[in-house]
Amino acid sequence: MKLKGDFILHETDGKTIMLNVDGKAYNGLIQLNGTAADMVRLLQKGTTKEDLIRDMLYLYDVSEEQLTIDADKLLSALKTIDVIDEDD
Amino acid sequence: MITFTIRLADLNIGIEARYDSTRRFTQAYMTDGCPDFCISVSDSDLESERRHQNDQCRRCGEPSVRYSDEYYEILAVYRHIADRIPAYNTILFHGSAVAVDGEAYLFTASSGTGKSTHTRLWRELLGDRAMMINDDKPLLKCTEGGIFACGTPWDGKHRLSTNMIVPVKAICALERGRENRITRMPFADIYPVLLRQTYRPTDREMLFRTLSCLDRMKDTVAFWQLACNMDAEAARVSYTAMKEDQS
Repeated sequence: MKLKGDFILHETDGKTIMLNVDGKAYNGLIQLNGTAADMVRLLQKGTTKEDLIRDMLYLYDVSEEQLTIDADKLLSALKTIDVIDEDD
Repeated sequence: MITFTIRLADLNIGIEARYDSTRRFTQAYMTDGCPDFCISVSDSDLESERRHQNDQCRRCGEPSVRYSDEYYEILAVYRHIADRIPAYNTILFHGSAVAVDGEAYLFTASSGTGKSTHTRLWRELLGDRAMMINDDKPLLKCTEGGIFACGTPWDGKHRLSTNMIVPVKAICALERGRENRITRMPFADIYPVLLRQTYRPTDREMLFRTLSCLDRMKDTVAFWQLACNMDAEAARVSYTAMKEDQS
């Protein structure tokens, strides 16, 4: 599972924004909280949902259940705008 | 090929062009100085501009128009400049920029909303005190000391620009409204508009530089949202608020 296209993450005014470099995969602006930004960094390299949650457990002192909810929410949002390649 | 150098935003830009019309178009910005960087236009650049124009027509629901290669070259030159200039902390911004008493005010919105109409109302209100820096796509030089709006010859269909560099006091996002109302906006809330109206290079590093330039606006520029009609009162409302603001 990986992001389609080349995205950059940029911190501005206390938030993280996600932008597609050439605008071909997605032309809009995505605003992420801290947890989502770290998940996106893992998705940029390519991962599975299970590995994503396992890696996030190292970074965050929260329950696996909560991280699963957060991951599902993020993945659903990214799938809605068709920027996730699930076969990769 | 024709080679010449122009000076935009305190930078000397060497240009290698096919058509003398490009040199004449940029005449007011000609310089003898040594270039800080150089650009040249290829056949594929002209073809790329033709595709951009057609895509734009398609998005607006208008029939596509075939312009001359001379016109496409003028567009291609500015696109090359816009792609390279973030390396010098300068970005291309879509807006109508007017200078009043040594301070620049920028109005930004989607094409056709009324930016040029609004800055025309400012000129009618303020007379000679108001000078157009650039009516369409000024360069913004983003230094640690402030943001500066820079005139360029790529100044829109009314050809309104002055070869000047003026510190930016305020940027205003404009929308049409029945009543004239202006609201001060925090940077976070106006950011999506700023990003949408800023040229985004397709090179990663230049895109990061562009975003860093936008970040520099946060502490030195005041942001506003204006709903307005085309009455003269609209200019009085926006000018009074933006001019008097001291924060």
